[in-house]
Amino acid sequence: MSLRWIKELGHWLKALFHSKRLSRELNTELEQHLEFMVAENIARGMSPAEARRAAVMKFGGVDRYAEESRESWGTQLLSEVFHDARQTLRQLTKSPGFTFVTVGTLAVAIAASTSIFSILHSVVLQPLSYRDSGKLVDIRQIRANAQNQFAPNLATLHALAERSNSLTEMAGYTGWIGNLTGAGQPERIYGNAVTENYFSLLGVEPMLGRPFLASEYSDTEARVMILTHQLWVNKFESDTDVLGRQVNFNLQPFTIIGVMPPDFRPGAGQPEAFAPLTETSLGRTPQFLFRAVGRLSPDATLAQAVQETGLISNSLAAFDPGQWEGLKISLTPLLESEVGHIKTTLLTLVGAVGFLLMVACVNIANLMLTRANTRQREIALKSALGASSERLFQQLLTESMIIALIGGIVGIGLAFVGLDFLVSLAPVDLPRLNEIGIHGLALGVSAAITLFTGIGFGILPALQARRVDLTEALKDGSSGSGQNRSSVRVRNALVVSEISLALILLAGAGLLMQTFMNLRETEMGYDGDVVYVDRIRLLPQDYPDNQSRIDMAYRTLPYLEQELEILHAAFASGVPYWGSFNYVLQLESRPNADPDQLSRVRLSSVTNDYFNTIGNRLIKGRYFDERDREDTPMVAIISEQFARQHFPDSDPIGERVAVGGGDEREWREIVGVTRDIRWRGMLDDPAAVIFVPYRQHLTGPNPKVVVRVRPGARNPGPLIAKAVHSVDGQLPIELESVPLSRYDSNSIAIQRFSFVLLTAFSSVALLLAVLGVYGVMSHNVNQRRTEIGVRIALGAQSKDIAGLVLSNAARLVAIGLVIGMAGVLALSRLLESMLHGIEPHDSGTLITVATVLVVVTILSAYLPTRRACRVDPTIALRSN
Amino acid sequence: MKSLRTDLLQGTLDLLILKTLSTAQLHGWDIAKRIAIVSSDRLTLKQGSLYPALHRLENKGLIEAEWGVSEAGRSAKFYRLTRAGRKHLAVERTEWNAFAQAMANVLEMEEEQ
Repeated sequence: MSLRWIKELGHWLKALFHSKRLSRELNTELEQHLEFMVAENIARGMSPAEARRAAVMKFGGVDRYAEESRESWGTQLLSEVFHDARQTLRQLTKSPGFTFVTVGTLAVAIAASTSIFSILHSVVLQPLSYRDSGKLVDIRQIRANAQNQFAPNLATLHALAERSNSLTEMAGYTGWIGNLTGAGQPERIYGNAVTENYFSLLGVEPMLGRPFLASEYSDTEARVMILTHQLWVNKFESDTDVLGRQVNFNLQPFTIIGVMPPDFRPGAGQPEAFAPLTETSLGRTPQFLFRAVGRLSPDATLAQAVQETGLISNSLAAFDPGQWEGLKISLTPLLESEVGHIKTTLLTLVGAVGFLLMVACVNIANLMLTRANTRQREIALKSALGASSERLFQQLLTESMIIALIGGIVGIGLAFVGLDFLVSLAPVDLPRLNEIGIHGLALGVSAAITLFTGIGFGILPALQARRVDLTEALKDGSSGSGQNRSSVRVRNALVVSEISLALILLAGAGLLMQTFMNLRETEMGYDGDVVYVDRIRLLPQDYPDNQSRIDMAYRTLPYLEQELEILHAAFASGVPYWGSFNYVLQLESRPNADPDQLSRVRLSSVTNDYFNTIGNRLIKGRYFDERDREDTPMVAIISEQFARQHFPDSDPIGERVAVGGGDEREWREIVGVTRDIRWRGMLDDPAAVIFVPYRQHLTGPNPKVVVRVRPGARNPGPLIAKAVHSVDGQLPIELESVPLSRYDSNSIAIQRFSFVLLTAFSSVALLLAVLGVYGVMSHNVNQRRTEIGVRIALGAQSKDIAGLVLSNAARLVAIGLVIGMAGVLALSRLLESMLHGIEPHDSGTLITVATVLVVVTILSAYLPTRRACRVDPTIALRSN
Repeated sequence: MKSLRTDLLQGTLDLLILKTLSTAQLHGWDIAKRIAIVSSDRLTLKQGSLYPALHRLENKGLIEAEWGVSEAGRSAKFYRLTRAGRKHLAVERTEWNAFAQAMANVLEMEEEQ
């Protein structure tokens, strides 16, 4: 059986590759048969001519049987397709405009959808690259009355791990930050100190060396570290001899014992190195965790684990209310917790790109139909000459498949370029940025789209071609295009859907643009463009006490102030994006103030010129000045938000606030209120902040130097370094080369990303809609030339004709607009979570985009209208 | 689409060709001639229709062909049965006989009524 199948395939291949020779042989064979017959007839006494005629009669149509024999080779279809393909390519090069627009439209749509889908797939859909990562959960705790979720502390994690059955393992890490010396330039390293089972829980192993050993957690003298691949490449030049090497971390000797593989970049923090979570590594008792992860046991669901941890924390609350009372454990799938915040944005973009794809497909269908219409005469001629309708169908299908194929290939090529471009636009904190690539699945989707477009838009015109009325189409003077009513209706429907889809995209883009503009207008409470912040590291051995640190600041400031480029300079413990401290606060006149709200007030100790430096002004009261020293009455300035929260209907000036609790508390008088200030970006609410004089508060080892530069000045980093080193030549500084406004703009990077992309998509959709309206209108004008000629001959003026054409266009636009608006109203709710300061049904935006659409599409009918007005009645009438 | 009748005829023609080739290696003209002689000219067919059938059978691997020299001294394409063809012929012949027998039975039964 299979042998026979192989034989048949062999025949088929032979036939395919030797079709010319086989045809020749077939002709010889048939010719000889005829000659035998002729010879026989002559032998019976016929004349040669008579003999030949009789033979042909008896044989039956020579060509027909030759054709049938060839068909039996089974290669007919393929050679026909080749033939059609060659013909299509020839025709496409003959009409470059059509080719460019169709292929271009399809390519752009496929490129956009492939790359957006690739991003969605890489970031959101693809499982994290850990062992059985679907079972990993992010563990957080929520305190009653508090909004923020934090990782549980180490004790909580241990307590849970001991009791839980649904979570087999739990691990966590905390920040391990310090100066790395003894390996080239001293460098600040942001690492993670991890629990013993951290790597094994995730199922990752060092690429070089080994993971941490149990003994390295118990031995108080063990100082070991594992490098990330990036640090190994950047700092240690990929040296494989790095294992066993000693470096200094915060002046303690650590031994490098491993290097992680390149794709291990856990979480958003992007650590550079790892150390065991021990007192030895950290230099302090481990207590708080940054993150905690757990692994669900194979047969446990997330819901079971949530229920179980709830029960555990309730039962523990009875024994240890201080730790467990009001504590809720929340479990989130790890993937969700890492990419959840960007999921909506990406899904929205995928939806938008889907609309774009639809517009593109509609446009292509329209172009194909137009083309098929203008070619009806050619098709009718072919069918009159005997081409079967199957054959014509096949030809038209081949054509559209080829166009789709070229569009698909160009599109996928573009997608590779486009993806890099999109990634460069992407928010810097987009998780898994390094994993983004074009994946098989996305390519499969593009291939499916291509195939669908090819078949879908080939069938429509092909079906129409089958219904061509031969006599009608071939009649002289019907200008090569038999137009029937149903085809007009189909094309009008296509344009209407294009307009409505374009409106939906435009409305989305409009709303996001408005959101983005609103965000840009956000009053930050500082002049981000001219404010730079750098951080100094005061080493404890050089600056052992508070006074020495304060002195350092006041010795440095004059050096900064003498620089021409620097207008103002200050030292501060807290600056937007650069942290702040939280203290226990008490309000003298409001003993019952909400302690939770108070606990979230940010405290920053600042030198006198701080407010001028960042560009914030007081609303009332006074700035800090020379009066506010260590030995003078303690004062504070609060932010507007603080005042709103705690002194809603009284003047806070003169009120007293205590910073710190118990014996350490110190009462201060509020002497000023500053304008609102936002601490963590443009999406953040104004922060409740309390500012205290630099000299009147404890200063930490990491003060920030804040400078205000002359507008247009260069990065003041070198000037700051110079000033600091004039005071202490050995001091390490973290130089930041960008102004605060860069952080502002990063804080809305996701919004910018979605706004830019949606604007791009909707612009393309608008362009396609314009092309669609233009195409249909010019076609309609061509169709109605005779009618227009008659009207002009009967005395119609240009404006009547223009009215005729334009009203036709206006009707299509109006219907498209109505349908599109319905779509907008139905869909814009989905955008709600991405909008800021604007309603999803914002009438201003909707009216604006609708106006743009109407104006642009009606304008696109201008050229066809003008052509209609210039119809020469004598020519138009004669041609029929 | 081919009508049932054509399918039927085609099947018959295939069987005739296979049977004719079972005794000798022949070229197209010979095959046509022999079918005409054996069936006493009662099975008339357009001689050209032989060729699509021959090529179809060749593609199915039931017959094979090679170019040779005819008795008239001209080059001609000679067909002969393959092993698969022989087997196929046997099966088809049995089926045909069974079919013919069944038909005959039915027709006789009608005459009895």
